[in-house]
Formats: sequence, structure tokens, C-alpha cells
Amino acid sequence: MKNELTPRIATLREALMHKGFTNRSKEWFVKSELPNVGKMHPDKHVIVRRAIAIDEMLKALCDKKKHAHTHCFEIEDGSLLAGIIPMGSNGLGKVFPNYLTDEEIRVGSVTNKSQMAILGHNSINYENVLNKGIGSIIEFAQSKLDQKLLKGVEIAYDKQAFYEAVVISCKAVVNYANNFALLAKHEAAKCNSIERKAELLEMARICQKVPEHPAETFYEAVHSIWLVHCCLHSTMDYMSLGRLDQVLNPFLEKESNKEFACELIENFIIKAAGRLNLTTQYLVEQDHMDYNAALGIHPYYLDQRAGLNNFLQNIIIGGKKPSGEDATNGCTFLLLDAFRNVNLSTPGLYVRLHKNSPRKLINAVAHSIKTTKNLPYILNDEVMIPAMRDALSYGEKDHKKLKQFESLANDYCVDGCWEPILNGVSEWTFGMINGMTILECALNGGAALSANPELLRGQKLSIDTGKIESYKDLEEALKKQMQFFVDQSAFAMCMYYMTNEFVVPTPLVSALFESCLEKGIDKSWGGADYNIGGTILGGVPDMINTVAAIKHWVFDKKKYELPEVTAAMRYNFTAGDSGDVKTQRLFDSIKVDLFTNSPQFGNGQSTNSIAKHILDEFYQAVLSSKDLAHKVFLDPAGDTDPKIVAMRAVAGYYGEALQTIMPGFNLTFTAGLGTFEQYNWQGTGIAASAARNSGDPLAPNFTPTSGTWHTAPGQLLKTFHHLKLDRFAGGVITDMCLDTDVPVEQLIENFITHKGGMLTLTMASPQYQEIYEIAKASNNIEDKAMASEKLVKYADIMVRVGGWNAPFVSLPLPHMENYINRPVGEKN
Amino acid sequence: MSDSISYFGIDWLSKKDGPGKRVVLFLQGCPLDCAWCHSPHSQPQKSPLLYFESLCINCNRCMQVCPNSVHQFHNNLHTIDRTNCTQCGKCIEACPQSSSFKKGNALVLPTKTESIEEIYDQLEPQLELLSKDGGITFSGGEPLLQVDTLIKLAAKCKSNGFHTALETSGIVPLKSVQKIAPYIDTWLFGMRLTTGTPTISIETLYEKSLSAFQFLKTQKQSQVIVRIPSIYNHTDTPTYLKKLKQIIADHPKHLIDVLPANMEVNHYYTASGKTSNICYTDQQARTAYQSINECLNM
Repeated sequence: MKNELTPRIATLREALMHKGFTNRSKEWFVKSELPNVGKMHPDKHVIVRRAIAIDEMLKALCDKKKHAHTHCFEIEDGSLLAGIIPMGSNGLGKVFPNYLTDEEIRVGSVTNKSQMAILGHNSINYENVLNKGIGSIIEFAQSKLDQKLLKGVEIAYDKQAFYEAVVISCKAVVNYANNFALLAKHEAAKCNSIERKAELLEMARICQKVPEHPAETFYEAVHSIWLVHCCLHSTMDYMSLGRLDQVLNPFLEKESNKEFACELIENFIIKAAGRLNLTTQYLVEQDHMDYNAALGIHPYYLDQRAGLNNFLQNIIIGGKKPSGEDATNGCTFLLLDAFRNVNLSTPGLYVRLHKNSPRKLINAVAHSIKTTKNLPYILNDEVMIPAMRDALSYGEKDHKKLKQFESLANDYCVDGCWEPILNGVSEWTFGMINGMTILECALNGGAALSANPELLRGQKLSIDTGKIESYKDLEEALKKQMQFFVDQSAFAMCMYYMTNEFVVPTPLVSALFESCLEKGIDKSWGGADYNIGGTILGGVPDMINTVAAIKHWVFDKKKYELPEVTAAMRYNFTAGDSGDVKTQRLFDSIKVDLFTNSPQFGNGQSTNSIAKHILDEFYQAVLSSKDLAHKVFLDPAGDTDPKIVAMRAVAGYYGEALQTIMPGFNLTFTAGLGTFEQYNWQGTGIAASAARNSGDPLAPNFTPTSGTWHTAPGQLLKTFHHLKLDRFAGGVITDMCLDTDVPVEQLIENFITHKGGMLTLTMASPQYQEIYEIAKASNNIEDKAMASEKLVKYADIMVRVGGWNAPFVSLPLPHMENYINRPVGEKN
Repeated sequence: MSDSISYFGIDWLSKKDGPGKRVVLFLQGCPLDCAWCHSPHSQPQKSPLLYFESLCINCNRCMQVCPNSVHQFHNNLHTIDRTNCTQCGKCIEACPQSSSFKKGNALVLPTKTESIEEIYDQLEPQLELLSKDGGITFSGGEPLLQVDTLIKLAAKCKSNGFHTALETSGIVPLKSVQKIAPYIDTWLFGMRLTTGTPTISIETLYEKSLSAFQFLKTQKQSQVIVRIPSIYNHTDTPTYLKKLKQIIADHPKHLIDVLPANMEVNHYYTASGKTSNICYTDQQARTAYQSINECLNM
């Protein structure tokens, strides 16, 4: 277990941190300097245009003359890996050549789609790239092209165009690697150090060989993955890295120099973090985001500041093999050690653990968490495997298929965020719904509890589920509202598949998906073996707290009438300018009861039955949506059923069933609980509720709302046991921020035993407050650079921001405030 | 209630109250009134209403709901007359700065009386978390005042594999110590050869301490850690130290803890509306700590 960085890695890390505090806005590509492929080749199939754009982008990356300011065609001093990803992130956007025609862009305005849609949320299984090389993919696609494929029934899905696009984009990757081989040779020729010259020549040799050809050594394997990762992330596909310990271990076993192997992985981590922005001074200049939705068909909605250092790249280690045996290996520990040593906020590291995971692994994970204060994050196989297996098996009776689903579930991983997916064989999309909006609609006959008098009862968002006169009425209304919002989300996912294929085809990613390549069907055309659509419910702890408070004070104690409570929530406990003293007194009393005198989620058993009820209703709603979506949008039988055709028209769709257009296509529906980074935003516009004022943040993911967790971690772990989380294949993630005295090993074990879903642990820092003060002051002082300098010493403090880790210094102020309120342990 | 226990607090993760990391249940009631006691509200059968001035926002709501005029406000000064307080809890329910669900409140009625089952259900999840490196500590007050019900809770904890510790002064009937002994793994023996107050004679304190301590020394299944508070002018006097040495002369050094004085001794006195009987400076506290350690060759 190595603990200290080598001088090489220490220097590379220091250089990255230094760069992170500078103005990086000039490093971005300028879109107008990139070719407009849409104009150059308007008559080519969109997938071919996308492939040409990939080629143009990868060429631009290696064009030092034209794009020197991007620093993308360089080899850092001392680096063992060549290839640099250009600036871009989930929060700041990306720059990529235009490949749609003007008319396509205009029509796409209806569905908020264009080529700038941030993709990702998926991962690659690099096994094939390492064992066969990209050259074999080119050969395979070329052989298909030589067969002169006819355009078949799937007329829009031109297989000829698909294979042509695969060849173009894969060759672009090979050329990118070879360009770095030439650069390394060139640098070697200029180099005076014998040692460094040898390193550069070795890099040149490797970049000439991989990823085109199979990798034979650990170094070649790591470099091959790095180069492909660079190409994907440079060309709009923010794909995650998958189960690297499984992929790399055969190569590691052959590697005699384990210290070099660790140094190489550390180098890999620093390279992947190369886009970090640690100062927030220059962000507006770097805002390259546009309106396009990554997932679904709504304009992009994201807390850009919180996502500025999110690159949708995770590595997953440990867990089980497809056979069900424990998958822990030497590379599991190597990756864990490297991440612990380097301690950066990206890439993310997830460890899969199960009840038979080796004790040595659990101890190493705990040691890493205590050292880094937050890495790795934990996935509970005891929950995630059955959840994924059952979601895949829904409605399936065939024993052979069920067996296959078991293996696939054993091999699950997560994408670049935290959504569970299948390892390199699935396409994933999701819709998010706000639990507090659902609750407001249940309390207010389908309308939000807005205070605007012009909206009368409030903004009408849903069906009117009637007046609530008993707790049973509330349960019934909640059930119906839940179904309405889940339907809306689930059917929108079908719409995604009806539009996406013509806008953002993915020839490079599809080339790396065996099933797409075999079938000649792009991933965006439904070519992946499995297509998963998740509905993620946010604000659940707030729902639980509010329902518990209403039940207690309105229906059990009968201290208030429900309209009094909903009025207090609507008006944020303020009677307004009317000066109505009686009303204000009532609202004051309601506020105190909702804030301090009601049971709150995570503090014991008192809210368990309400929590379970909400989760049950949500899960059932997702299953019910799946059944209806299948009947209306997927099943070819509907093509000749006038009732179904009419229902499709009601949804704004006039085409054939998805399974008619894309034979073999299915959509696995999953349910998940969480908010990602959006817990602050999701609270905006939401009326006051238990333990929060109007507009205050919601609970982060499936975690007690900030400031409401008063007991002990053990209480929350025990709560999981009652909630049956092993049905939520869309993931259930809890972000604990704890006192450093907590016994981490035992906490991990109990989390597994009590069947929590996914867990991130942040060991609370006493420095949150002082960082916040400096960051807050910097908003009001002229010399922002001085504030930035003061923050440098805090750059290594990382926290979880719902969907990913982020350096605390780079967080928006509301996120900092949220963290300051989180740790458990108030004093008497 | 024969199967219930009165307690005034739970510490979910303490590193100071027994081996490893502990959940500490503080039981209500104490026969002593040590001058240096930092939890004076633990002494009566029921704690008085506690009031933490720094958390009060002077909203007057407590005054509005109190049926007995316990709370008064004059020029924004919140005064409390506890003589008429019936502990109905209405002021806490009305107070935006107080909650019966959490710590850190302006107004507190800390004493809760709950069944063994209810208490165990609360403790168990956290005990599971601390089970490999800690356990449960019963403290107080004097926990052995409720020995008959505490035995059941201690037995339940022990039978579920949790390490048990009990903090006592030993100034209780010896049979109380004897009854519960089979269920306690570690004794935190808070030696009280003086209390600094005349309530119980020095001779009685000595006799009871000696007999309890001698009995515990015979209990081979358990460990006894002697805890000696270092209180200037009380537990560092030559007479006191002489008696102390007589009792613990052959006790292993590593099982003797000399405890530094709590410098925030006034905290709960102020909150209870009382005045502390004791006052010592930092320097005096350090001197006392040092001289006890030197005397015991620690």
C-alpha cells in the first residue's frame, strides 16, 4: 500500500492544481474556427456527417498551428501518457463542429435537439478494444460495406451509412493516436535527458500500436484506454470508464513492476482531471452551454456552477463477476491505492461491495475514505444486483433469458454520474421528477402552492385529485398525482427514442458496442442490446417530512385544518401586508410545529411507514407506466389498433411502434431516488414545507434534509432495512457527511447488511465555514484574484455534490451553505 | 412504570466514557450533590426546565402559552420562575428555537421516561455501528438508582453482543452493585471520597466506596476503571489523596484515570437557574490535576 507520490506524479499534480487556479477561458476551442460539416456535406446521412465532424475535431486537436491556444497537442513534462482532452464539462458545455443542416437545426427547435446535446451517461467496456484493437472494428465495418448492404425495412436507419460512419470515426481515432506518436518522436529528438528520451520513444511506439492493435502490456492497455477516452470526450461523447479493474487485471498480472503500474494509473487520473477549474473568477467566459437537452426533450436544466467540474467519468472496481463470484483482484487494490494517493475530485471511483467481499477490501476502502475524506463511493451489490435483475426480468418467463439477466445484473456498473447501467451493453436515459411538486399537487387539486394571486389556486400542473378531508384522501391523491408525473416522465423517454436518432447518432460509441456493430444499428437507433429508461424521484425526504407533519398535526392531533397548513406553506408562513395578527400567529404556530415539533426522516422509526408508503406508490407507478408505454409506443400490435393510433396522436406521435421501427427494441423501465446536484434548484419555486422555507433547497439525493439529521448514522442505516430498496434499479443514493470519529469500516458493513443502495461518505471538514467566508467576501471585493489566492490552500478539500465530487472551493455559495449545515452532532 | 427508565440524554458517539467508541445513556437522578457536578439537572428525579439564553430570540411565545406565568419578559430580558413550572412542555412546543426531537435548543425538558423496549430500539442501530470498537455506557446521574430496570436493559444489550459499561460512584446500596454486576463488562468507578458538600458524611462516603470497590475487584469477568475527578481544594488535598491511595493502592495504573476538571461547570447551573458552588481558575485546575497524578505516580 503505497502512500507517497513519486516526484513525477507530485509535479504533474501540482501543475494541474496551479493551472486550475488560472484563467482557462483561452484554452477553449473557438467554434467558428472549426469546419461546418453540415454545410460542407448537406446531402450525406446525418450519421456520416457526425463521423466527419468527429474526424475534423480530432484533426483540429492535433493542429498545433491553428489551435495552439488550446494546448491540446502537447505532452506534459514527465507524463507517461499522450493525449489531452480539450476544455469542456457537464456544467460549462463543449465545442464541436456543426454537422446538422440549417433546416435540421430549425426543426430541432421543437424538441430542443441539436448536435450540442451533451451525451454520456453511459460507459464503455474496454475489453474488446484491448483484446482486438480498433483496427479489427474498422475491418469488420469495411467487410460489411463490401457486402453492399441494401437499405432494409428500417429505411431511416441506413446500415450502409452506419458502417461508413464507423469506419470514418474509428480511423479518426487511429490517426489521433498516430499523430501523438509522431509528436512523441519529435519531442524525443529534441530531448537532452536520456531517460526522458527513452520514455518519449516508448510512448511513440505505443501510440503507433494502440488503440489500433491489441494491447499486450499493462502500459499499452492503459494508454489504449486513455487515447480512446480522449477521443470520446473530445467529440461530444462523455462516456464513463466502466469496470477497469476487470479489464486491466489480466495485463497487470503480467506486469512485473507494480510501482510503475501504480504511477501509470496516478498519471491517468491526473490526465483525466486535466480540465479542472478551481477558481470561479472566469466562468462566464467559459460558458459554452446551449439550450440543448442531453436527455429527454426539454431545454437543458442544470446547476451549471455546481457541474463545472463534472466530466461524467467514473471508474468502478470490485463487486461480482457475471458468474456471481467475487470479482476483487489485484487491480482493484491498485486503482484504490492510486486514487487515494492522488486525491482529486475526478474521475470518480465507485467500489462495488457485497456481503462476501474480502475483509481486506473493506478495510482498504475505509482507509481510503479516512485519508481522502470522501473516496471511493460505495455501491451495494446486495441491493443493486436484485434491483437490476428484476427490472430486466419484468414480464419475462423464459428460464434461459432469466439466467442471462442474472449474469448481466451481476456485471452492472454506473455511468459517469451514479445511474446504474449494464456494463458496456446498455443505452441509458432518464427523466427527473420533483416529489415536492407531486405533493403540492396532491394537497392543492393538481396545482402548485404558488402565492401569486393572479394564478388563483396556483399554477395548474396536473389533474385535479379533489379535496383532502382525511389522511386516506391524502394518500389516494398522492397516488394519483404520482402516476400522472411518472407517466409524463416515462412517456417523454419514449419520445426521446423517437427523436434522438436523427440528431445525435453515435458512430464512435456504437463501434465500441458489440451489438450495435454486429447489427449495423447505431446506439441512438436502439442498437444496444438493452435500453434502460429511469425515472428519478427527487425531494423524497422532504415529502416524507411534510406528509409526517401533516399527518401528525392535522389528522392525528387535529390542531390545524389542512387548508390552514397549506395556506401557511403557500405564503411561506407570512400573513403578508394585511397586518392580520391572528393569521400571522396561526402561521407562526404552524411553522414551529412543521420545523421543530414533527418527526423527520433519518432519525428513527417514526417516519418509516410513511417513507415506505411513498416509495411503494412510486415504484408501482413506474411499473404501471411501463405497461402503458409498452402498449402504446412499443408494441407493433398497436400499429393496426385505431385506439392505440389515437393515443399515440394524443402524445403528439404519428409514427409506427418503436418495435416496428427498431425490431428487437425494448425499453427497461427503472425507478430511482435522488436529485444529483439539483437539490438547491429543485427547491426553487417550491412552497414552504416541513423544515424548509419557500425556495429553500430540497434534500440532497436520498439523504436527510440538510440540518434535520439529529440522531446518529446507525439510525439512518436501520431505516434502509425497512424500505426495500432492492427494487430501485434506477439507484438510490445517500450522501452522508459525518464526523471523523465514525467507525467507517463498520458503517460500510452495516450499510451492506441493512441494504442501503448507494453511499457516498464525506468526512466533515472544520474548514467549510472559513472557505465560505472567503468565497462570500470575494463576491463583494474588487480584487477577486486575492480571494482566489487565499483559497489555494483549501484546494484538496472535496465534497459530494449530489451526482459527483467537487472541490469545495469551486462550489456555488448555496452549496457551501448546504454543507455547513450537514454534519450530525449538535451540542446541548 | 416498573419497566421504564428515566434518562436525561444520549450521547451517540463518545470517546471518553469507556473503552472505544460508546453510546452513553445518562440516567436521571443522583443521591449526591458534588460541588463540581457539571450536570446538576441530573440530580433530582426530574430535571427542571433548562433555559439556554444564547439561543433565545425573545419572541415571547413561551410567555403567551404558559398557563402558570413561568416565563416573563422585561425589556427583552427573559426571566424564568420555575417554582410554578408543571413541566407541561407547552413553552417548548411553542418555541421556534426548541424541539423535543433534537439537541441544541433554547428550552429543554431533558428528562424522558421510556420503556426498556423503546430505549433499546433507539440505541440498537448505533450500537450495531459501534459494536466492534465500543458499546453502551450507562451513566448519570447515578444509574444504579434505577438498578431494577437497568438490569433488564443491560442484560438485553449484553445478550445481543454489545459491550456494556456502567459509571457509578458506588455510593448506593451494595446489593445494587451486586445485582447488576453479571451484566457489566467495564465499571467506570467514579471515586467520591468527598463531595464538597455536607449532604453525606466523609465516613459514609469512604465506607461505601470501599465496599463497592472491593466487591468489584472480586468480579473477574469485568474490568474496573477508577475515575478520579481533579478538583482544586477538594480531591487534591493530602487527606483525600491518602484515603484514595489506601483504597486503590494495588489497582493497576493503566486502569486509573485522573480526569481534568470541567472548565464549563457553570453551563447547566445557569441553564437550571442555579448558582454553582464551586469556582477554580485554569491554573488551579491544572495544579490539581498535576498533583493528583504525581501522588499516584501516574
